Amino acid sequence: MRQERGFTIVEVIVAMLVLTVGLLGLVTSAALVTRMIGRGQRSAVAAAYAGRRLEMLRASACVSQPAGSEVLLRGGNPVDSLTWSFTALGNKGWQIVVNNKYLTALGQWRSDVVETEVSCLL
Amino acid sequence: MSALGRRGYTLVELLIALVLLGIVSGAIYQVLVNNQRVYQAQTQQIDLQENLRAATTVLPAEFRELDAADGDIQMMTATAIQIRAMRKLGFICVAPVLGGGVGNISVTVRDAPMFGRNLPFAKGDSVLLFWEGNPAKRDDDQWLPGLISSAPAGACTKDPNPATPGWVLSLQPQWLNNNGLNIAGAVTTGSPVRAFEIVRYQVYQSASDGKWYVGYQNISAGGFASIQPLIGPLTGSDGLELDYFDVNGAVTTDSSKVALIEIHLRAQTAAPVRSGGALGTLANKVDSITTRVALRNNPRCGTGSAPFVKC
Repeated sequence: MRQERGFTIVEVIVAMLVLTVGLLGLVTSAALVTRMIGRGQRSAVAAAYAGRRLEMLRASACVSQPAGSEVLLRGGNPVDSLTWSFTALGNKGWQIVVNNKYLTALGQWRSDVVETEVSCLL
Repeated sequence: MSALGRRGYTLVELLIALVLLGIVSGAIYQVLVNNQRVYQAQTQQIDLQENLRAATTVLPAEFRELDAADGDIQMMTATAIQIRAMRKLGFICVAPVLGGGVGNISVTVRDAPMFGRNLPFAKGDSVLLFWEGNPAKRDDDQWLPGLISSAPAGACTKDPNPATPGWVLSLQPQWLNNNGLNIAGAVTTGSPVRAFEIVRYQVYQSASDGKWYVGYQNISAGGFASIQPLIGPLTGSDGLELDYFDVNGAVTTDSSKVALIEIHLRAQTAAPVRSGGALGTLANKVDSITTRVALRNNPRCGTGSAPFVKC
C-alpha cells in the first residue's frame, strides 16, 4: 500500500500558494473595476453639472460675459467646483470655458474642461 | 464474499447524508432567491435611470429649437408647456406671389434637401414661412405661421430643365389678417420653411394605473389627440417642474421672454423594490435629475430681442 501515496504537505502548500496568487489577482481587478465604475459615475454627474451651468452661460452670453465660479456641496462638503470665463473671439463671438474640478474618490480630485463657442453676430 | 459482506449504507449514514443535502440545498435556494431579488431591483433601477435619461434627451431636444420671441411657447406653467415642436425644414423653390389679392397662397418647397421627419407634407400641417420683407433690412424678418390646405407632389417649375421634384403647398397664412405683410417679393426663393406640430407636455395621472406621467399630447392634428405617457411613473403631481428664465437669468412668466428652461424630473420605479436584504422594506426607489436648456433660436437683434438690439 506504500505506493498509493497522495500529495505531500509541501505539494499542497505550493498548490495553495499558486491558487492564492491567482485569486488575489482576480480580487484586485474586481476592486479596480468597482473603483472605475464609481469614478465614471461621478464623472457623469460632474459633466451634467457643468453642462447645466454651460446652458445658463449660453443663454446670457450675448448680454453679459462675467467670469465666475460656484461650488456644489453634498452633505456640507464640496464635491464639485466650477470656474468659468469668456474669451472674445472677435466678430462678436465668445468662447466659454468651464473648468470642472470634482471629487472622484475620498480626497481624489479630477479636472475636466467643457468648452463651447457662441456667436452673437447680429 | 458473503451477502452480509456487501453492506450498503446504515440508516444513520443515510440520515446524515439527507440532513447535509438539506442544508446545502437550502443554502443554494437562499442564494437563488437573493439573486432573483437583486436582479429585479436592478431591473427596476435601470428602467428608472433610462426613464430619466430619456427625459433629458427628449425634452431638451424639443425646447432647444424654440424661438420664444416668435410665439413658439404657447402656454407655460410649472407642470405643463405647449409649444410649436419643429419637425421639418425645407426650402422654397417657387416663391408665393404676393402683393395681389387674398386667398390661398401657393408656394413650392423643394423635395431635397429636406431635413427632419421623413414624411410628406399633408393637409392640416402647420408651417412657418420665412418672411424676408425688404432684403436690404434685417430687423423686419419674421416667421409667419401658415396652415396647409393641400399639398400635392409637384415640381420646382422655376428650375432649369428638368425641373426637380417639390411639394406645392396651398397655405392659409395668417398674414391675410395683416395686409401690411402682403408685399410683392417679401418671401423669396430659397427661404426656409419649417413644419411644426403643436404639442403639449404635461404631468398627468393615468386613468388606467393611477400613476403620474409626463404626457405627450399632439394638438395640431385637428383638436386634442389623446394624451400619451412619455416618461414615468413620476413621484406624483410634482414629478415634473419647469422653470423659465429670461436672458438675464431672472424667473419670467412672459412666454416671449424665455431664454432658458430648467427641467426638474422626479421619477420612481414602476414596482416597489425591497432594499436592505430579504427582510428590508418594500418601497419605490426614487431618483431625480435636473437639466437646463437654452433656446437657440431666440433673435439676437430686431423685434423680440432682449434686451432690444438694433440690427
